[in-house]
Amino acid sequence: MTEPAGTALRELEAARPTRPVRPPLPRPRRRPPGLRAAAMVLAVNLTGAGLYWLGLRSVDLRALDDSGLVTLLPAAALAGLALLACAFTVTLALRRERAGLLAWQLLVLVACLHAAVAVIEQVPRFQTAWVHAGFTDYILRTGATLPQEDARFSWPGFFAVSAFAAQAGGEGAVTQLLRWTPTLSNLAYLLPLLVIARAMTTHWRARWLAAWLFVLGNWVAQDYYSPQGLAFLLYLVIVAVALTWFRPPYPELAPARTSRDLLARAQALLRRASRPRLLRPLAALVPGPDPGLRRPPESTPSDRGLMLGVLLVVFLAITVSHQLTPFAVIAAVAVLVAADRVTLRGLPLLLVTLVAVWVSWMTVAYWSGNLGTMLGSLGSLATNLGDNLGDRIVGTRERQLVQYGRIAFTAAVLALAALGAVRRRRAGSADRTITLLALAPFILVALQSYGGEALFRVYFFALPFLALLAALAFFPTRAPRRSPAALAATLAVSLVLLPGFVMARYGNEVFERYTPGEIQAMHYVYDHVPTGSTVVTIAPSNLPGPSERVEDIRYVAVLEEGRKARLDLAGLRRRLADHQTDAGPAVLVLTRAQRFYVQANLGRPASWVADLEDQARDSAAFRVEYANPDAAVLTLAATPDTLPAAPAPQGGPR
Amino acid sequence: MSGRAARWCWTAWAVAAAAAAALTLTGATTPLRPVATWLFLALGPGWAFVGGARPAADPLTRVTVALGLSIAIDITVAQGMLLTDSWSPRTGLLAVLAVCAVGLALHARRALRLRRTRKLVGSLHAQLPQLPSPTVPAGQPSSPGITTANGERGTP
Repeated sequence: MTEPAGTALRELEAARPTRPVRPPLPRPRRRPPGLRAAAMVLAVNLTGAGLYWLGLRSVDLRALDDSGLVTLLPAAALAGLALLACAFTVTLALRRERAGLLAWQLLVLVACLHAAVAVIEQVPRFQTAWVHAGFTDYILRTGATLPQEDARFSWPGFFAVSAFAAQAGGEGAVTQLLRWTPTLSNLAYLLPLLVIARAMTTHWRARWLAAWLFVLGNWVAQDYYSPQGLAFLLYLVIVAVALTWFRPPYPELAPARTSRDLLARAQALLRRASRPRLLRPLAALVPGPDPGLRRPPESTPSDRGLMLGVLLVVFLAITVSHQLTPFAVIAAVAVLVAADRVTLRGLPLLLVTLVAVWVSWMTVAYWSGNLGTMLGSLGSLATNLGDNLGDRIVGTRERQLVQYGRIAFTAAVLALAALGAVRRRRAGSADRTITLLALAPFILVALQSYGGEALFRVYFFALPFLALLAALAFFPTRAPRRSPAALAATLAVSLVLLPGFVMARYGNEVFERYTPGEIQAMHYVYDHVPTGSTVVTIAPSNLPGPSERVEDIRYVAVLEEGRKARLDLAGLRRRLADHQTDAGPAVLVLTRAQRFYVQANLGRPASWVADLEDQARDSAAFRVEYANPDAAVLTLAATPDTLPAAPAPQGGPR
Repeated sequence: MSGRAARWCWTAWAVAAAAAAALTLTGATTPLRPVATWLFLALGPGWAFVGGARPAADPLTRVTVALGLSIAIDITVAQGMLLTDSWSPRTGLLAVLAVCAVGLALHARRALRLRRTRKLVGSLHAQLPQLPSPTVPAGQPSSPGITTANGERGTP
């Protein structure tokens, strides 16, 4: 018996010298696993970004039409976007969380979707951003506000802080702010979003996917240079702070004072012990530590005191900056208190008091002056962007397609979120905080008069939580398996949402972007027209401004939105003469954006405005003060039956 | 956040604050000015309050709170200048720096308290020599993580 064993041993001894092949093996294994995969992901990601950038750079923006940017994207750009989605999905499939790699990909995504467009368009986009630049410019010059002129001056915090930052930053800073705000805002939103996601979920895949889906879902264009954009960041910070520092103690850890606590603890033990399915219904009988929730970090009373101070200062800043966001914050905090997810029971009341004080005291200048027009003025905010997105679908067939596309896109995000809520519940989480936070903004519809835009504001406020729920649709449980189905679904959804985002976000690009020529025409106006002048345009909301001299030039649109465009040269001349007053002359400004705006929204071909412009230029009744291929500034020629026209241009090109 | 990272952050903070103050108050025109000033305005004031906060705040949470609080402080200062009719970016920057000083003072107070507590613990330890003090077993090099009697590192 021993003999064979002995020989076996000897054989083993003999075999040993052949083993030196093995020792080198453990060393490469000691490297973090998946490093090669990470490098590959990075390569795919960079290739995707490069392809997208090359594709986007070859786009001829002059060829834009009512169907927006997405139809102009070459195959290379679309392939680039697809590669970004693939790289991200592969990162989610890795065994362990690679935070740096995931964060990098989010950065690249935001850069592709926002910064790249900001670079290829030479001039900052979006009319309302330019209007806000005008408000900032006023504060910067005078150190005062004009609450009688515009409702937004009664909530001047944003304009004040950007005037402050612009002046502290030196010359030309406002235009830079305008250009980079969408990129910076989207990056900034991700920080509190990730903090919230960490408090409300237990798995890294759901967290990072939520951030990814948030960037993709955020097409509503409220992240531009605006009070809303900044207040939204602060709103998310408040929710993040509340969920991090003011959550009730985790049942497992809290001292068991009541029978309920004891039960909860027993249930926690049961849960841990009850891998067998049989006991699970028993464990679900009492509310216990939620498998979907992360344990709150430890903190001392002094920490929480500091954080309460942070909450209040941030809320104060929101209150002085924006009309709507304070109510979104109050709704969110009220929901958190009601769901027993935040221990500060008095906080909603305190916040309501703060808002009431500000509205009744500080905005009194506006209330007393223009109570009648207040509603109208609030309503005009609606023309920012979303007015056309609301219940009515207008314009050419392509434009209607874009609008239906936006609705479908939004519906898809909502459907994913609903699926996520269901799957999270199925996975054993009784927590409904995220669902409630996603529903809370709907209270706002009743509170304000933003017209058709209201629903899109609600979507914006709900989006972080919708994205979180949507991510939980893919990775709902505590430690989700890397299920190939979930990963494939993630990839499929990303592949649909990426071009969907470009479609929805840049669907109006033909009249939301501006060219240097249009900006130059506006500068001509600011530099030359006298105080008290009226700038007349064909259609509303399509001048890049007023970004200067908001206080002494009036702006009037001849055609109101939704009305049938019926106007000829004689009519135009009459309207101009109507606006010519003792206070100052009327100046007609025609721009490229107006042509396309009229075409998209008012049912006239773009050539209609161009023809009108040509006729006016040839007519003896008008005088061309300034013209370039994209814009023209005209005044009425001085005739005996009209009032004195604008002064002759001083050295301006004709 | 490790001690070294925190130290780096505070150094960067001080540099940004000094640069923002110097460039804005002297009215210099370099491309560095918007970068330094905006970086400081976006993160500096908040960091002065929560940069050293002890709660189990990971870097992400801390940066998030610092960002939100900084913007809120900037807005409050700018709004205050509007309300008091004293608009001037220099005044504003000085006001922001003053707010930062309050945050730093809070930190200093907390650090002072911590040191006093540690001293107290240390003296109590000295008064009770019969208690076995944490000593390093002979023959082993002392590891840097072991608590010393006066509580320099680690927790008692």
